[in-house]
Amino acid sequence: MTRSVLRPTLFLALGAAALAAGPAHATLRVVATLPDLAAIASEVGGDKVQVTALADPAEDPHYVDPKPSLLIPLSRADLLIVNGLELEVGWLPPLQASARNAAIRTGGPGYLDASVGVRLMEVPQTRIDRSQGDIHPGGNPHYMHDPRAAIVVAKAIAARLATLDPPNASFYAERAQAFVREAQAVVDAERARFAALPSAKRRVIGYHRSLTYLEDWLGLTEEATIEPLPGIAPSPGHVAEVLATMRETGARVIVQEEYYRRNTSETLARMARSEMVILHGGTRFAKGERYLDHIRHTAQEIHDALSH
Amino acid sequence: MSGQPLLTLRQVRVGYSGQAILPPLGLAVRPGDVWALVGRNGAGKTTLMRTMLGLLPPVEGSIHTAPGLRRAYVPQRGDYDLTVPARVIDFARGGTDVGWSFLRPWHGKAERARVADAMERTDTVALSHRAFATLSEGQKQRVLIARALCSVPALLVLDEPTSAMDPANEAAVFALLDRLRQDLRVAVVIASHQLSFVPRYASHIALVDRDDGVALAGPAPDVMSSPTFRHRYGSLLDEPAADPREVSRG
Amino acid sequence: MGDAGLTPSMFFDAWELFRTPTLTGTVAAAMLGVLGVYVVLRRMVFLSAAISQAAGLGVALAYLGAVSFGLAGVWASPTLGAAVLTLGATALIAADRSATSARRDALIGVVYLVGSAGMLAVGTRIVQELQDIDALLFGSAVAVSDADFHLVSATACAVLAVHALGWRGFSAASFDPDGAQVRGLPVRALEATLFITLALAVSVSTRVLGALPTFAFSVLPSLAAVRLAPNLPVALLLGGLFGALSGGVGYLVAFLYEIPVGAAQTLVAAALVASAELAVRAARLLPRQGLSSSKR
Repeated sequence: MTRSVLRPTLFLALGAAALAAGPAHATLRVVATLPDLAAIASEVGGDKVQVTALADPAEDPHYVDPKPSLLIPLSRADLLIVNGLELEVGWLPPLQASARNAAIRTGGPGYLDASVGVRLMEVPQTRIDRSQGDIHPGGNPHYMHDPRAAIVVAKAIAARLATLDPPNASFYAERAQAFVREAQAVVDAERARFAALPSAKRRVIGYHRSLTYLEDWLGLTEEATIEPLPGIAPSPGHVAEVLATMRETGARVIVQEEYYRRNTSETLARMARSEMVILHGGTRFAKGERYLDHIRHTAQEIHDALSH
Repeated sequence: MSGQPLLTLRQVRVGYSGQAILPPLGLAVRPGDVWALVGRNGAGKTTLMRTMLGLLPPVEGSIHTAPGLRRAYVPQRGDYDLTVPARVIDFARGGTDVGWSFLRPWHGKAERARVADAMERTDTVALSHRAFATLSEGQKQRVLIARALCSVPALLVLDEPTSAMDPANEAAVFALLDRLRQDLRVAVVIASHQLSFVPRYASHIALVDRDDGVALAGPAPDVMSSPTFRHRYGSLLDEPAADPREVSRG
Repeated sequence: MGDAGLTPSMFFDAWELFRTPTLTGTVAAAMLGVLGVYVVLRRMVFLSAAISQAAGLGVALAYLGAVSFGLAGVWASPTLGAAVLTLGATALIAADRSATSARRDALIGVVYLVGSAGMLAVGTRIVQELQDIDALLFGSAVAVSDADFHLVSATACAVLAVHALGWRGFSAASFDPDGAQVRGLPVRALEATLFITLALAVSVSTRVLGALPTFAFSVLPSLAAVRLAPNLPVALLLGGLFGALSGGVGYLVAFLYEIPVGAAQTLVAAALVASAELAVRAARLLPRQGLSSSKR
């Protein structure tokens, strides 16, 4: 995982171990739960930040098994950026608590929930009684597939970095602006490109309910998901339904992230003679990939499949 | 040899879950008695033995035990799991606990003395630090008897103590039991499908057969002279007749 | 694997960060290493896997109760659901007093399968994402909250105290149940206590550390201990010691080689089993004295 970034971070963290944690460093230390968030933070912060990602893009963000060494950057972090909407609820809270770093506790000055400000989709309409247990109140958490959300996130990161490091506020703002301009160009260009496809072609089958934002951006219609409910493996009856839907609607492209199981999708693709698109789970941040390159790549893959 | 009975069965029918498998049976076990529970495999010996141990309730009839009667049970050697790590001394110590006395992590002085005495009587002191699993069948049986003696029982019940044993070891085991009977005045109940020991050591016999509905119990000479017994084991009785021994009568 | 950038001194320099999860793993593994001696010798190695699946079904049923039948408050509590199903499954397994271990083995398999299948089946009937059940049920050994550390420590103290006090009884009830009953030992109460402590230890450890290390701790350290120990009390002590080693050293290994903590702890425990086996075999090759001296 993020080794190339982690190692300098570690040395830095340990080198400065004697110092009390606080914002008075040459560079800000940023930890992001997901590689997409890390890539944007790196883009906005430039050489004023050291960024570590906790999850690997090939890992399902619901089920990250973090390595103990990641506690060190967490303990020294000035800023923790999380996806929020309880995507990381299964693994992040104990890490946060164990890092013994008051700044990055939920609600702390160094805690940034990136979902705040993003236009959320699939927010439950009925109020859910919290006494029923730990039930998702937020909305669909997979907004980082959508560069429009990334624009909001980049601005939020710039604002927070400015708060933590006021002397460099304009530096962060400028870099965020540059990112926003480029992102907006990608947003518009890809939208137009997809809009040029005949509407009958713009139908896809998803695996998890994780493509909602992506489809909204690119004007795609998701005819079905292979999972009957989020996190539930497909039943034979449901697979039959999906197959029938594919035949009815002419949806000929199955899209899923690399970390979801492929056997059902492959069977369906074979039976419905359709294309399969396996998306990267996120930016290959550790290999130096930029977020917008990852997004362009994603859009390209889907476009290729749809225009066959 | 008499004394108050340790264990009395009156019109007892033994069986499982309310289903009797043998006709009613009456018997009284007194200190120093050696009872042989005989019959074919599957004849009901084990059921009768477990009933006498209090592990099974009788289906009918009543059982009386002397107040504070201490029983000890020596299961078949094969019933012990040899993967459980134990030296001979550990094995013997395992028999000291009675009631709630186990609630002490260490064995006390009195318990150690009982263990030492039991091991001496069974001639197992030299084996103390050997792993139980590595012993011969005869050695294992002596250790099992030592373990049973550690709770200072008045009634010792053994299940097939000499199965899979050569004649010399078999004789040694019975000689040991006879010695314990004499020295400690324990009553001994032996369930066995082998009969060679019966004429020589048994004072009493219970003969059971669920298939033929037989349940016969009493002093050895009486049972051995019964037509039922003679019909089954007649040939056996002719040989050891040359070695009669004083038989205690209840 | 081996990341040259990470050294033990880095680990100990940042000990403050790793203390709680390392100690939690150590304490939980010591507790399970002791109990595991009974698990291994009584041939119930899949007990902990079965118990955690049963707990999963309990959580799923609690959600189902809340979502589909409008249950609320304590009746829809996932913790209660897990506790009820855990104890129910344990009671079912413990109640089987048949002579063969094959039946108990089969029963454990039934509990495991019904638990897993039931959790998936019920999962399709609830609006909840299944990940939430996982999050509630299966902790992560990499980071542990102070509250969870205290929970594990208190459980371990209570369980180990019961086992230090009653090991003679548990031993008799486990390995000579008829003999123990004849001598008047409270065999049923001992069995119930043994299984309740097992259920408690397994469920607390699963909740805090996760299913994999819990399963491993309840089997592997005691397997090594039983191989080496001359008798049961030594096996219990060694089981606890080997458990503690697996939990603590496993965490360090996970740090050094950047592998998931549960996996590292399991592999360290497995290495102990292999070492014990090698030690026993090596000892067999050496000439032994006194082998025949005691035969009379």
